[in-house]
Amino acid sequence: MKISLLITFALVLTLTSCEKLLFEPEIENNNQAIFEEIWNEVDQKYSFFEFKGIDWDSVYSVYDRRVNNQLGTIEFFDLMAEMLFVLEDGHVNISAGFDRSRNWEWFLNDPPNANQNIIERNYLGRDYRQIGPFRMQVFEIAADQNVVYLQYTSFASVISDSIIDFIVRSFKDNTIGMIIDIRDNGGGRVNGSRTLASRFCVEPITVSQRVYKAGPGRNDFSDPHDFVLEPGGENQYTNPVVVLTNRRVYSAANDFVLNMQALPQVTVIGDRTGGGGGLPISSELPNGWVYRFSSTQSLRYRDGFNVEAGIDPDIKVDLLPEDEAQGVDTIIETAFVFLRNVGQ
Amino acid sequence: MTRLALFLLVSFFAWDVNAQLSTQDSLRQGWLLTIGAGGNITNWADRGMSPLNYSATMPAITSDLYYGRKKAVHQLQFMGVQGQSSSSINTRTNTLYFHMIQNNLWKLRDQKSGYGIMHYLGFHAMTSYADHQHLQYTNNTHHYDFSLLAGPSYRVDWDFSFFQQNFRLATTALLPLSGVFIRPAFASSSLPAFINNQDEGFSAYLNSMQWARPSNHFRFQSEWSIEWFLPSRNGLQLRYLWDYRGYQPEFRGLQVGMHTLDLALIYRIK
Repeated sequence: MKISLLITFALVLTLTSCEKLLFEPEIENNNQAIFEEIWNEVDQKYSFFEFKGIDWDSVYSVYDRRVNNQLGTIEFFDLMAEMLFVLEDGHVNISAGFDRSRNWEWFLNDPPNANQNIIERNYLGRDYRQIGPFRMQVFEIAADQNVVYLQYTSFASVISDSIIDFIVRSFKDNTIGMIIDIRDNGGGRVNGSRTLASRFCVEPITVSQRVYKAGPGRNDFSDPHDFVLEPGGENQYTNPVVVLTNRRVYSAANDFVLNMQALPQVTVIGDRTGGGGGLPISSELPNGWVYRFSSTQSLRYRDGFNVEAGIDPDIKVDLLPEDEAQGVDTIIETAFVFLRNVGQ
Repeated sequence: MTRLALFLLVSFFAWDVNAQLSTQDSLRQGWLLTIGAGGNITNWADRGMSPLNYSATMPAITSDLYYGRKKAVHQLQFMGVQGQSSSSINTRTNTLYFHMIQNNLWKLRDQKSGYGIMHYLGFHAMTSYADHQHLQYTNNTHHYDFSLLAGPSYRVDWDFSFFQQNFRLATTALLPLSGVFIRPAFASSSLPAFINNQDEGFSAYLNSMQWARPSNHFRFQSEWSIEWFLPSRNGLQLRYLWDYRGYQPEFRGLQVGMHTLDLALIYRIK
């Protein structure tokens, strides 16, 4: 019996000491291995090859010829950034201590449609309230007709339940409408966008579907999974709501527009959003760089529309240069007119 | 926390449920509650998130409920660890959460009374849940694995006296052979987001459940402990637990080796 005890002990000791031999080895820290790692990971996990018509195999051919272990750090970084630029995706970055690559063509080729100086000086003014991440002002757009204006520029800022509940409770009975200005909001927490949207929802509604990259093949996706927006918080705001958008509305902010546009009292005014419908995953590399790319797709439930390329507004409005020159925000003014007409 | 620790210590020295003579047999039988704390070193490689291997040194808490009968042992175990892990190039880039509950039932197979050695064969069921949160980003950074497994187990107890004190050296080996595991092929949101209905990924998460087969899953667990029973018939335990698990579902392999060393107080309940 003591022998069996000793054998067990020896076996366990051997296994525990050899544990690391069971592990897959890390990849080597050289340019060629890192290039192969990035290309393969993107090849197996990126979610928009077919949607964007990208020939990733030809990308390999092009860059495999250009990569070698003699390239300097910055030269190699720029080469990998150039390769990932092909994906035309704002959720694709490669980050090193000295730079963060990006493809921002999704808004740089379009008019800005927001002038923060005009918003701050001519609309928010000096007496706006800062409630958590929101900047808030109340406007009287007609006799005894007030609308509350909320500006929210990043979903990375956490929205607490108590703040949203306070805003809804404070304005649900004494305003005829609400304007939520998310222009230039590049996203952040998807959960935050859904928490905020739930305060405008009075009954559950299926808004979107998400598919996940579930296998190494280019089209190995999971079944679509529905997202049902449900009423949240102690009260909901049921008066007309206008959401203001431009091309810099991206990622979680794009998801917010997707949710809000499904609600009957909500109208989206401004420009098409920037998109960013794929949740990114991140990975680290043995040279210390971090990179990320989209690994899911989001589809609008009612028509299966893929929101990666952006969501059209209900009312398309651009910031007119002549208005801008006079300090007027054409998109906010359009929202005022819209709410005034709806309120009559 | 301090009050709880004080309460446990006072109970440990004061609680004497039965003043009968502490024979080896009487020590083996009855209900024991073990509450322990210690340290854990976890090595892991998650190819779903990174080509790097990681290591974490974390605090661990453990608790066991032991019921010994003349020819059988029943043991319910819990372990929880949480901490930051580092790779060879970056420190504390990931947060690791791990919880495990397992239930063991052993039947006495052989006994060498003269030597105090008891040889058991048995069956175990274990469930464990792990979450590796990568880089602390906001969305889509949780890499989960969950398993519910069962299989054979083996236990050897050696009861002996040394300087008129009663000790037990125990070792167990568990080999979970069948069951199910969930190891999604994608990263997910946080559990609160699932619970608060802010993320549709939970159904996708459940859909990724697979049967554990030798081709896609391997797990082995071994434990060594030395217990010292005091005159009050409560005891102290020093334990080392090694738990290795590996999943190879399609293209997101995961390998984890956990080493836990803990010191525990043993309370004789009945």
